[in-house]
Amino acid sequence: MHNPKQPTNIDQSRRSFLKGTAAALTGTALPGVLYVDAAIANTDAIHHIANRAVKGASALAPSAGKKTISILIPGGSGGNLTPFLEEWKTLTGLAVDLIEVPNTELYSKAMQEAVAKTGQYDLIIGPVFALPDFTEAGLAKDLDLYVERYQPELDHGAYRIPYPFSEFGCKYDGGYRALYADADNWALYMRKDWMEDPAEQAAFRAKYGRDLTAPDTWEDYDQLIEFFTRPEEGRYGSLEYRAPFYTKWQWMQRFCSKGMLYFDKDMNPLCNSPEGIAALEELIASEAYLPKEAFTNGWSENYNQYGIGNVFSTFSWPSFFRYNNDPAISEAVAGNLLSAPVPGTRIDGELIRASVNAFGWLYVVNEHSAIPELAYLFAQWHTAPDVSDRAIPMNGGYFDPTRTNHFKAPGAAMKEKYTQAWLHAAWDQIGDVIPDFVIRGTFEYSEALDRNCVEAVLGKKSAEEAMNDAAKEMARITRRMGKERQIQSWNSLARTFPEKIKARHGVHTWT
Amino acid sequence: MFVSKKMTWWAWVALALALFFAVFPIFWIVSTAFKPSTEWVAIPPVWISGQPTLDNFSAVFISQAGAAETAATAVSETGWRAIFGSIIISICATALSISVGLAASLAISRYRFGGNSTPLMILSGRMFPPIAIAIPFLVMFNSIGLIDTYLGLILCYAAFTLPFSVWMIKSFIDDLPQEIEEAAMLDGLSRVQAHIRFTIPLIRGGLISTSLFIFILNWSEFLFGLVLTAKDVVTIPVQLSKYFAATAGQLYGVQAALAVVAVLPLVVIGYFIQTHLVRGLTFGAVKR
Amino acid sequence: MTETTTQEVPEMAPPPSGLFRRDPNDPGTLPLLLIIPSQVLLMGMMVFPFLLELWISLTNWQPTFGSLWEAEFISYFNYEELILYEPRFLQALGRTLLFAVICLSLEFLLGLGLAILFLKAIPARKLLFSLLLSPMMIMPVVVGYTWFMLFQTNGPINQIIGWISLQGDLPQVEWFRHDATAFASIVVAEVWHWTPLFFLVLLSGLNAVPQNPIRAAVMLGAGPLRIFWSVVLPNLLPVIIIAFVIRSMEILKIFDEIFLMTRGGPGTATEMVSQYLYKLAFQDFRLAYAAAAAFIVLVLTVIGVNLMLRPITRQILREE
Repeated sequence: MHNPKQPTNIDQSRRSFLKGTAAALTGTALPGVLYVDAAIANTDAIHHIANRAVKGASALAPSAGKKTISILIPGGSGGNLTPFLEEWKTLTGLAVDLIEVPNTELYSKAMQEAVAKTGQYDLIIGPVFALPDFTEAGLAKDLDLYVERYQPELDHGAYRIPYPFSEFGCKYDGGYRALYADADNWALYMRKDWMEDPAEQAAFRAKYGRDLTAPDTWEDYDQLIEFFTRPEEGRYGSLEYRAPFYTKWQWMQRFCSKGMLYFDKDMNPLCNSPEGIAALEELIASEAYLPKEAFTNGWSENYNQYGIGNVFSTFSWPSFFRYNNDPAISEAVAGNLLSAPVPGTRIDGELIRASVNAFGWLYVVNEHSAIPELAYLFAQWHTAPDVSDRAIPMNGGYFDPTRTNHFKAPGAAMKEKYTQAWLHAAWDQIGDVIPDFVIRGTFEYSEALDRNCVEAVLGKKSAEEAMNDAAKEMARITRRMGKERQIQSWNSLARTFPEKIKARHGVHTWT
Repeated sequence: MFVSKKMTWWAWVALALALFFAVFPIFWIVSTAFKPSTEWVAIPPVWISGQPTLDNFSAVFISQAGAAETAATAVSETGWRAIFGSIIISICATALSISVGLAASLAISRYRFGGNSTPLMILSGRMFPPIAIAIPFLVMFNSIGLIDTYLGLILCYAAFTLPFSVWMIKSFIDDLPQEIEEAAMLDGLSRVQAHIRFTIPLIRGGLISTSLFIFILNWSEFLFGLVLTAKDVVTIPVQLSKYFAATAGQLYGVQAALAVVAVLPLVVIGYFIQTHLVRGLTFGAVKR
Repeated sequence: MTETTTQEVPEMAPPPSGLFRRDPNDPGTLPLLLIIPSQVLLMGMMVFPFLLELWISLTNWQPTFGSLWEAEFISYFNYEELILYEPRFLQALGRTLLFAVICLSLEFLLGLGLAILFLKAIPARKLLFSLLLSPMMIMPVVVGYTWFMLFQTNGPINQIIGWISLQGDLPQVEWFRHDATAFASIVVAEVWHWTPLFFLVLLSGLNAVPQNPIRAAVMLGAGPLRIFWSVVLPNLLPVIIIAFVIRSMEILKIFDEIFLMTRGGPGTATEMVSQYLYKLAFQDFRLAYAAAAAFIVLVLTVIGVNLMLRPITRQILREE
């Protein structure tokens, strides 16, 4: 059942070969054509990862003590899975049982399993930021052995999960702990029809002295949302998140694009630096361009409200585009959505953007499972390049494109749901991805930051007080968690930041 | 009495306001249950749907596999298992709590067992914040194999409502003159027979209202229902929080439909036993 | 008892021992047998977990640090930390107390008013009574979802306020955005949910007030207010205390409604003890710390309830 490891350079050579063929065949030189790499979808190699999983599972299944794989999933995410369970059963003879918990309770339910050690769930679909906690609590099984044995090709090969997702979405503390299933960084979404309206374009040029285009910097963006805010018409500039738990992500994007990291080398919080305070002041200022509902909207309320069509822009996840671009779900904005990279900050002539990987789901194998290897194999199969290419576009799920082939050689369904243009743009932004607090105690750090951001936005504190308080609280959390251990895991997380940001802090020299 | 029986204009106004305040949210739940998904959170809010639908109820009762993708069909499982689970658990836990409570109240009220501190100690069991104890409970339940079982939740709910059933039933027994049982025993009945033939039938009304109160507490419980279950057992409050879909967010209509199904029986029962209720919830503080 | 009954006794078989003995003065083992089931249930489901919890509260256990058995014993450190260095906990405690006082007072006044109203000849009495009681039957989770919808900025409550306000163009209240309105919204939900209990209890209390003193007072020319204050209220006191005790025990644990409506926000403006404990136990998984906090709450509640019960302990417990 052991397939030879794919040569790592095969990707490179095949791609350059194919670029030539594609150009020759179509005779046009659209950027999309150069970018598309259909070859990786059309070789047998795309099936190898899934085949290895099926082969492995079929071999192990007869002797397994348990013939059903139980998966703990967040409520409302079954759409990616249910259509495939029958197929898996036909292939391997193993049944799969999905156990839903309310979306917001998933982390907690998984941590309860870490405490109770029941083994009732073989697999857990959890959020990225929880991986360190899951690992430290002894819940996430060390997958190094299985990865070696079954070669899921997470960080190499033509179908690899692009860096940095392959890093913080799969590894903790240097070892494999998860299979990443859902790249979930934010992009900026705007109304194409509003931007292309000649009257708007003229008015914008008259007011700001430049063309109405997708923004490069936060200043550009702030002008855009100011311009489109017309409360008398019921129109607003943006649907940025201001609800508890979400607000910190808005702050992180502005903060990190100023070339900043959450902590310094010794894990002293940097949020109360001038950059951190400025980022929060910008959030406060942009309040004027948000409809009132932004204050309570969580992600699904946000998706729905944008779908009504009275707001110009929002920051959101890939699934936002996919759902709101579907005429069956949103008549008002389908076909009129423009996705663009999140705005950045120009520092020393360099434009730095920071697209936060907010959430993102991954498969974790329960350490206490009776059939960890089979559980792992199901996850490998379901996240394999070919299977996931079919699974991700299913309705009623949370997963978004993750592996290279999803972006570069999407199948028909994937292309229909996400569009070639979006996949292209998303691929180009991966270099700007910043991680969330993917460290132990994630909820404590995020809550401290988030609550202070919200309180400043509400005017209960000045931005400076809020950031000082947040810094104090985070330092206290680190002290209690054990500074040495936290520094170690922060140092490895810091390495996954975009090059331009890392370079400014000399992360490469951190030990 | 110190107020006249006659309805004055302010009495009418107060009654109307009170009724509106009490009934409006319930009206909203019922009305939402019949709304199509576009009207769940419409702006401006829809009071009574122009296109009432039973979709939300069919999402609760009929499997939606294969149905056209709408917000209401996004639910992955019907509510039957939750309804069944809630009924089994609430009825058994109430019966257990009442019978154990009845026995204990007899001992306390008739035989002064344990002196005066026992009732207060039992009551303090109700004062511990359940959120903090839920996870130790999970550890304990796991070690004795009670996780995700009906029995586990039944025991847990019975224990957490026991303080109330002891206190309430005790108040009814206290009100019953001891001479009734003494007379029965003089007539040749044993002590146990006297309790079964006389004490219990005479406090029937009190037992009914206590049972309803305990049943409501069990029926409504959310936290332990969530923490102590995994895949086999589910209760209505937990199921309600699962009505969430990637495309539609909170499925308010489906939640409302299940809520109507869950609440209606209680309101109806409350109507029929209201004479007992009026007397029942005073913990013996009303002097006879 | 009549002569005949007492004479019949000697003719019967000698009293059996134990459970079936007929001696009215010696219940034998019956009380013990009756109390055992409750003690077993409480022992297994409460006392044991409490002891486990008490021990946990003296450690630094947190699952991300390792298992419970590896946790370090740190004695009263958690308690010291909570009382001396955790203003957020103390604030949550104070806030919960404030919330309880506001809600219970409102529930009491509204419930009393309703109960007095029901002394009148109310039409369709049985039906209206049931309707007024119905909020009590609704599960907290549903209460939370419903009031969350009602208090939306574009929701029906703001719509109604818009209709009532004469100008018709008052700025819409963003209920969950401001400290005071968010707090008010959860007060409204709680008062709606539990006023019926006060109503019910007070009505049965009012019905049991002895009529003779009232008649006497009327004859002496006392007005209704005077009669209420000096005759009715003293008679109602035990019932009032009981209603307050039942509700204060429950309201101090309020969780579901607030979790679904404000999540303790904005900031921490509506964070009650239970919200704070939820954060500690279910998000941060600082289980030992949460255990210590819970014991502090337990001790305070027990003291509070005992103080409240003091005036009527004699009556309730039938102390001689």
